[in-house]
Amino acid sequence: MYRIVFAFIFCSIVLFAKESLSINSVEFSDKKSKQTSNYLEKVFSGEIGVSYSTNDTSNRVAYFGTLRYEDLFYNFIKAKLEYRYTNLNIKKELSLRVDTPGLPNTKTVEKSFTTSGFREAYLDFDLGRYVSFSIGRQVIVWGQFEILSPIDMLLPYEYSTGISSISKVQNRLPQNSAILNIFPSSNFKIAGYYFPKIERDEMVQEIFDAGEVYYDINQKKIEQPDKDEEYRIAMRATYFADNFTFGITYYDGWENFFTEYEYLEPSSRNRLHDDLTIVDYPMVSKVIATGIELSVPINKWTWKLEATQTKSTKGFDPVRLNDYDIAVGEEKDFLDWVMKKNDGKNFVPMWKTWLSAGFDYSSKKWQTNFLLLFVDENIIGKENENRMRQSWEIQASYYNESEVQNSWYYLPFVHTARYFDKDKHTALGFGYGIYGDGFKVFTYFKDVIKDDFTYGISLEMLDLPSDMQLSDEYYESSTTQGLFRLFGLYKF
Amino acid sequence: MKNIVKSMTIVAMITTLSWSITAKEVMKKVYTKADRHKTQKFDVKMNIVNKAGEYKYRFFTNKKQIKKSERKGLIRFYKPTNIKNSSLLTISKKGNKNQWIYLPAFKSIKRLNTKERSKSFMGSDFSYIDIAGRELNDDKHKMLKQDSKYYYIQSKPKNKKDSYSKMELIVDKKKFIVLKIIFYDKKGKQLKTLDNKKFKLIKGSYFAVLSIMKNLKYGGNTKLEVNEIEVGKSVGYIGIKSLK
Repeated sequence: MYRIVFAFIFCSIVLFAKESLSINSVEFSDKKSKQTSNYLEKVFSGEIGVSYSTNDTSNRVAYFGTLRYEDLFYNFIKAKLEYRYTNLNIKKELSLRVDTPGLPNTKTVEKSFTTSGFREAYLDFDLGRYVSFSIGRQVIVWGQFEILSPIDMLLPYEYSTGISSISKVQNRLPQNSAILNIFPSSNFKIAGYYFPKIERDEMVQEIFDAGEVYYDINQKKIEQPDKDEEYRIAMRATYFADNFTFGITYYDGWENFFTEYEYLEPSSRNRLHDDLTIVDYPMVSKVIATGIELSVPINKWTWKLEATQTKSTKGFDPVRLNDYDIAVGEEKDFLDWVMKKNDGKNFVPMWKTWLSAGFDYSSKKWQTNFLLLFVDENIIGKENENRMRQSWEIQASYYNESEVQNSWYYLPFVHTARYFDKDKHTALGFGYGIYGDGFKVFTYFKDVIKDDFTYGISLEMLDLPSDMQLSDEYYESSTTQGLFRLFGLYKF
Repeated sequence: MKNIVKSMTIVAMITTLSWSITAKEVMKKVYTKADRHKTQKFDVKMNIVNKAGEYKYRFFTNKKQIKKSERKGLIRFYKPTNIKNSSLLTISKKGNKNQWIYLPAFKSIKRLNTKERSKSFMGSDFSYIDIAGRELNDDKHKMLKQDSKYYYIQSKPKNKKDSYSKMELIVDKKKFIVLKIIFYDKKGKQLKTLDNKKFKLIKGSYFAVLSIMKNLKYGGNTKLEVNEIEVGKSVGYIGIKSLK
C-alpha cells in the first residue's frame, strides 16, 4: 500500500512539477547599508568614435568624442552639459567644370573640419506640478516619426560632424532656446519655444556666407534676415491618450534651408529678351507653419501620420520656375507682372504642404520604419495663382507640352533591420531616404560588444550636399558617391 | 476531562480568532506598511540571467511618492551607458495605472497602452506592470491557509484584462511583508515566481533588498538588489516632465 502511495506521489511530482507556495529562507537585517552606487557613474557619460569612408576617388575620416554631465540639484533644477569634439578629414578628387586650357581634368583636395564646444548646455527648472522652464543650448526634436518628421524639418540639421545616424535626434543641431512647458494634466503637454536667432550647421553657414566658399557662379551671398528679425517662436501641444498620441504645432520663423531662386535683372545679355537676364538669387524665407501629428500603436505596429503646411510671409518665394524656360518662354509676361508687384524681385509668397504617413514595426527579430513623404507647393493668392497657371499653359503650348507640370512630388523613406539576438545588438539593415548626411541607399551590419562598444560596416550610395564646399572656381565636387564605411563607437 | 475540554475550547477560540482576520485585512496591512513612508528612493542593481546562463546588468534609481489619492514612481537607468537616462514613469490614481517611457535616443515620451504594460521591462523577467506595483483594490483576496508564521493568500485581479489570472502570496504574520508570490498566466498555469530573499529594516519599515523573479515559462531569472534606500526625504515633483 505504502509503495502505491509513494509511487503515486512520485509520479505526481514528476508529472505536475510546480513551484510550491513555500519558503526556504528569508534574511532580515537592520544594519545600515554601504553607499555602493557611484555618483560619477550617474552624472557623467560619453562616447568616442571613429568613422572611415572610402571609394575610388575619395576618403573621409571622422573622429568624435563626447563628454556629458547631467545632474539634479535640490530636486528641481536639472543641469546638462555636453561637450563634443569632431574632426572630419576629407580627401577627394575634383573634376574640372569646363574644359580650360592649361588646367588638368582632375585635382585632389584635402580639407579638414574641426568643431568643438558645448553641444548642449542648459538648465531645466521644475516649477511645481504644472510648469517647467528650460533655458540654454539644447537639442529639440518635433514629430512622431523617428527618421524624419515634416514639422521637424523647420529645425536645423547638423552636417559637418561626419556622423550619420538613422535617428533624427542624432542628426539634430542643438539651438539656443527658452522653453516653457505647461502640463494641464498628466496626459497633456503644452510647450512654448523661443529661439533668439537662426542657427545653422557650420558647414551650411559657410555656404551661406559664401564669401570664400565658391557656391554660386556669381559669388552672390545668400540673402538673410536682419539680426533683429532672426528670432523664431513656436508652440506645441501634445496629448498622450491610452491608445494614441496627438500633437499640434505652430511655428513662426525662418526656414531652415535657403533656396537658390532665379531672379530676372535688366540686362542686354538675355537671349530672347534684351531687357532681362537670369541671376541666381539664393535666399531664406520666413514662414508660418502649422502641423498636426498622430501616432497609434496597435500590437507590434505603430501607425503614424503627420501633416505640415508652411506659408511664406517674408523673404518671398519665387514662382516655381523651370529655370531658363522662364526667360525664353512666354512666362516673361507673368514675371514682369510679378516683378512690378514686388519691387523688381521675382518672388511671390508660397505655401508648401508636407504630408507623411507610415509605420514603425517592431518584433523580436525585426525593426522596420517606413514613411512616404508627400510635398506639394504653390503660390499664395488667387490672382497670383491664376496668372501663374495662365503662364504655365502658355509655356506648355510654346513647348508643345500636353500637360502642365505637377507642383507636387513624393519620397519614400525606409529602414529595416533584422536582429540576431534578443537584445537587438547584432543587426543587418537596409535603408533608403534622407538620413542626416544626405540622401542615400545603404546596407549595414552592426554589432555591440558588452553594452558599450558598437562597431559596424556599411555600403552606401549617397548624395552628400556638404561636399559642395570642396568646389572652387574651376573644379567641382560631385556630391553623389558610393562609399564603403567602417565605424566604431565606445560608450562610457 | 474538564481540563481537556477547557484546553480544546481555548485552542478553538484562538484558532477562530486568528482566522478571523480576512485576507483583505492582511493585504491592507501589507499595503499600509509598505506605504508608511510617503517618499522613498532606491538605488537598484538588476541582474538578468537567461536560460543559457548569460547575464547582463542594469542599474537604476527608483523614486516613489505616495499620496492618499495617488502613487507615483519614477525609474531612471544610469548604467549601462546604452540605456542611460531611459526612464519609466508610473502614476496610479484610484486604481487607474498609467505608464510612460522616455527613450533618450529618440528624445520622445511614449505612453504605454494596456498591452504594452504586460511586456518585459528592459529585457528582464519583470513586466512594466510588475514594476508599477499593485494596489489593495486591484485584486480580490482569499485566505488559502495559514500556519504559525505565514498567511497564504490568493489574489485574483478584478480587471479581466490583467496580465495574470491569479497570484498566490506568502505573507509574514508578524511583519506583514510579502515573502513570495507565484504568478499565474491567463490559462491558469504558473508563469513566474517572485522570492523576496532579504529585507532591511529602515526607519521602522521592512524593505526587500534582494528579490528574485524566476521565469517558469522561458527559464532564466532576474535578481533585484537594492543598494541604497532613502525614506522620508524629498524626491521632488514626479510627473511627465521628470521623464526627460
